[in-house]
Amino acid sequence: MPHKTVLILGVGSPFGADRLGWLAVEALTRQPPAAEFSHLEIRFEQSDRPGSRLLALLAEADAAIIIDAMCAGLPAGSVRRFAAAELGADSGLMSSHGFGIAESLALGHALAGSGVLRLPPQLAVLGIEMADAVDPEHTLDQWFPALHRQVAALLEEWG
Amino acid sequence: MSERRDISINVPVLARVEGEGAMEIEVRDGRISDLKLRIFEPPRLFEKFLEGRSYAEVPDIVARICGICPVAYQMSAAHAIESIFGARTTPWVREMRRLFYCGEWIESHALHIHLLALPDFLGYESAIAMAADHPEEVKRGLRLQELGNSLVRLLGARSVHPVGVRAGGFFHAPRAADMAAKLEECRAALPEMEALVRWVAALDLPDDPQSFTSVALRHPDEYAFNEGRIVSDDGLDIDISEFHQHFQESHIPHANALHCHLHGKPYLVGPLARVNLNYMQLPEAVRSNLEATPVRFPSNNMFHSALARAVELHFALLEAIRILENYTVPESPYVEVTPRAGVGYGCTEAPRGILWHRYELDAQGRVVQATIVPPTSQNQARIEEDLRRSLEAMGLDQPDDAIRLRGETVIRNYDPCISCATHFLKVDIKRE
Repeated sequence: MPHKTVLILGVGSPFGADRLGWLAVEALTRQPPAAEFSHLEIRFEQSDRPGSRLLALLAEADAAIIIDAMCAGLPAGSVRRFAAAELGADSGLMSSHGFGIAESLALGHALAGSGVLRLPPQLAVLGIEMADAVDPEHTLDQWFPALHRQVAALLEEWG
Repeated sequence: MSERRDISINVPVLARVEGEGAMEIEVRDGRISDLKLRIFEPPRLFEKFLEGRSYAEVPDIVARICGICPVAYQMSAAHAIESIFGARTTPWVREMRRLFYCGEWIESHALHIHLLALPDFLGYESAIAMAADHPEEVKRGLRLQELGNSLVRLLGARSVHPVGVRAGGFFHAPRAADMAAKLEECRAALPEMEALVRWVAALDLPDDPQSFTSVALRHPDEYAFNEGRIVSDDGLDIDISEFHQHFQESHIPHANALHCHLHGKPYLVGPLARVNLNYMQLPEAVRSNLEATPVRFPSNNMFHSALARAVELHFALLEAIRILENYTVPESPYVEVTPRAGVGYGCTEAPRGILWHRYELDAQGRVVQATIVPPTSQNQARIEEDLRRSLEAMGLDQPDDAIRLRGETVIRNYDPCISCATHFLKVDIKRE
């Protein structure tokens, strides 16, 4: 039986505070939650503000976790899980080209509803609250354990 | 008798990158008394960032100016630097630069037609709202956009802010097998692209003839991407180094982007200007496909910009196929360059129009001074002129929402980088 493929995708700019999504995937690659999920084929990717290309990236996966920086007024380093349907303009996820995660997923759902596009049946977004004027690499210890737990919980739930 | 209203339409924030702006319209006694396309995006400062940097860093720095047309910034910069160093690139580099540009035009034009402009023409507030009723068209846009992005990745390693360009050529040559696979993808997309031109031509686009001056690059042997002279349809024909002898940039109070005029008047750059000026240089297959429709170029209907983009999509795909069919892996993907002091110019056709660069370098190839004139600032005065004319022609006794929507549609039709923001405008209308 073919393995279920799970895409763990870090998005945002590879620079500045917005690089939390990239850092998260790098850290998860070093310390993957895969040992207990050997029945899953987990693929890690980073994408510099994919815009609508997000839909092409997602189309090949059975499940996906998107990790992005957020600015939602929470304590820096907070990790919050969103269902795709929860995303809106007030979710706090940052969009640098105006066609961000929320807009891309909304477009994807509209197309999937018409039967012309496939989205992973299991999809979640994890936001990490950014800290102003702090190199996000220095805050890794604050948020990575929570992020790792959230990712493992999702894999457990979907496995 | 229609009521004459004094209205003030203030669109305070066009919030997105590549142009943060607003639209303000004042109507007094049934006429527009004041109209401003305000661009209040902070000064980019890229020209100052470049000072003191090595020529080798310039292509990667200028690619950061725009997430949608980084290829254009890299190409204008590379040509300017090579002209200073007296470097002669190889035919392989020249062809790959055209292919690189094909990718950028395809991704940018496909995005604009399907996700930014089409909702206006089909009566939806956004592509998301449109997708439920027109899923195949939206998916086609995404598919073609990704095809363009994938062409950019072949040479630039990534589609947003690519990193493959260097003075003298590219850092690496794509593998023949990858190019062969891409060729098959491009061939497979050709029927869809031909159909797209006919489909856009059949859209119920507004019929809004007006007088304007088109400006574009023209090359004697090809539809210009990277090289040529700057020409207009009122007789301009100059070397790119003569730009500032004819085009005047000026600060205006309501915009951080410089307004640019040709001999004191607004002008148009971009797809419609290019097709108007260089129609006969399009391949016969492109012209015959278009000529199966009732639309003819040159056109003075600004809304034929959408069709011009579709025509250029068809051209760019055919050009990509031609280049990919002849692809061979070179001995070296670049020529060595030797720094020397001097002043050089680069002018290439970004998806939105000519992008002009001027660099002064010192003997080590460090930037002493840089000047960049992007297409959006060149079109800004033309957009304001069009807005005024189009809204008065539509009738200022129309409901406020109709005036706002028409204004946004006019702005989006130019595909300025700020156009993607206008779907999210919050509008305050004050009546006196």
